[in-house]
Amino acid sequence: MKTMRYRIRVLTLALVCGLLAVILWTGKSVWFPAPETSPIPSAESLSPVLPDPWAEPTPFPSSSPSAEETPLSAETATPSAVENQPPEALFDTFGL
Amino acid sequence: MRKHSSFRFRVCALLLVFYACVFLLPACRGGDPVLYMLSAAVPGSMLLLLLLPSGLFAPDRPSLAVALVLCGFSMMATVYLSVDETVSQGIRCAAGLFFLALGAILVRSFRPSVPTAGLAGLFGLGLLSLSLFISDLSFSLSDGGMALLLLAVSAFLALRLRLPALLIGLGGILLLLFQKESGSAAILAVSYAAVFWAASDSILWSGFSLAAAGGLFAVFLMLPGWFVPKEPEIPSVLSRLSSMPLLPPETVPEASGVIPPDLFFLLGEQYGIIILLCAVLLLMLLLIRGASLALHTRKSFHASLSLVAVLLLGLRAFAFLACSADLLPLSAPAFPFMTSSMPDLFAHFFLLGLLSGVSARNEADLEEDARLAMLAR
Repeated sequence: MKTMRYRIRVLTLALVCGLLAVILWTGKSVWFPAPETSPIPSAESLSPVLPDPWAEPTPFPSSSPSAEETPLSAETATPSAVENQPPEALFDTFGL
Repeated sequence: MRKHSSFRFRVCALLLVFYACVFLLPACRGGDPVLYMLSAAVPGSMLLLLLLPSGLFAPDRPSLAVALVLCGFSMMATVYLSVDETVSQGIRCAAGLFFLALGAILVRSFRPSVPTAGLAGLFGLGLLSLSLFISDLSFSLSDGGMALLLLAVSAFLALRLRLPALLIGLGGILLLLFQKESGSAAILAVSYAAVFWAASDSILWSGFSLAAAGGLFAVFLMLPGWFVPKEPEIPSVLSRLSSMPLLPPETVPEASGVIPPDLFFLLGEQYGIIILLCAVLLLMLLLIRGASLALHTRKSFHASLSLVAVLLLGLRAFAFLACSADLLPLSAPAFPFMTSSMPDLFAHFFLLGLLSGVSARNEADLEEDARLAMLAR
């Protein structure tokens, strides 16, 4: 009977503590909700948009200097400048 | 003794004033004569039950007071929505008192023996298997069946007959698993293993009972299509809770459709979160009172019975809160005493009756001691 009383105490304590834990967890979730996590980014948004190498080159605006006026060199070539050049001009520039 | 008596009267007076106000306020607003009647009838009947002479009804007054307060809460939940539903809930609670008396009489007259324990076990198994035989049964009697089954397990353990106790408990778990009542089966399995651990002297048998109950669950979980996790509720209970006020609001929200059988969160929407917290804390007091009765009894059978009542009520409340907060992927059972489902309510009153019976046995033992001490002088 002594062991039984000890076990009854343990079980009651566990039950009451469990109830208290659920109340605290629910209270925490209600009043301190977890911060909104951003949705998982899609594969399209993660990968850089690469230009289509087979697409027709876009015509340069009239105000910008043409490829003939300002020839590119390996030293002065910037990524934007390289992007705007037609493929043939790039081959010529880098001596390929 | 005088201190106890004055405390009891103070508690009764507090209950009287609280419940009179709870029903008088909406009565004054709406002018419904039924609410005026309820404001007198509810506290009056509570007072009558709590002050009845102990020989007539023999309830355990602290636990009865807690249960009556919870029943009053369940009536309060619908007072602004449907007065008819409030009256119906009051009638259900009053009918539940019959099962309280039944439980108390059962404990006072039950002597653990193989025929009585076997009969209780078979009756419990019969209640659990009722929906297997009657397919269009609209209600579940599993709560009452679980209580009777654990009563039989306690009786067998008091007789040191561990094998029948093991088999009868496993039979109940198996029946609930067959009916896909995973929540009730989990509550029964945990209560059964806990009662076995507390009442059985042998660690080996306790471990065996735990392993057998766990094994049954594992087998059924492996069956394809047996376990279907609960669909998340929309809106979720957490979002409903966050939209509830902390204190009773000045303007009461209107009824939104059909009143659900579970009245716990309905009460929160009407009166604020603070009253829900009070309900859970009151239930904890009831559990502690039950454990105290178990600790003060002299026979291991009565201690087991108190433990059964404490475990079934406590685990039900735990499962209700954990399932509502999406911690467990099961459908939430009803919170004790705060449901409009009659079988559940009657089973909760029956468990309270078991506690009352054990309390009456303890008092009878104390009186016997006093009489013997007087004779020895």
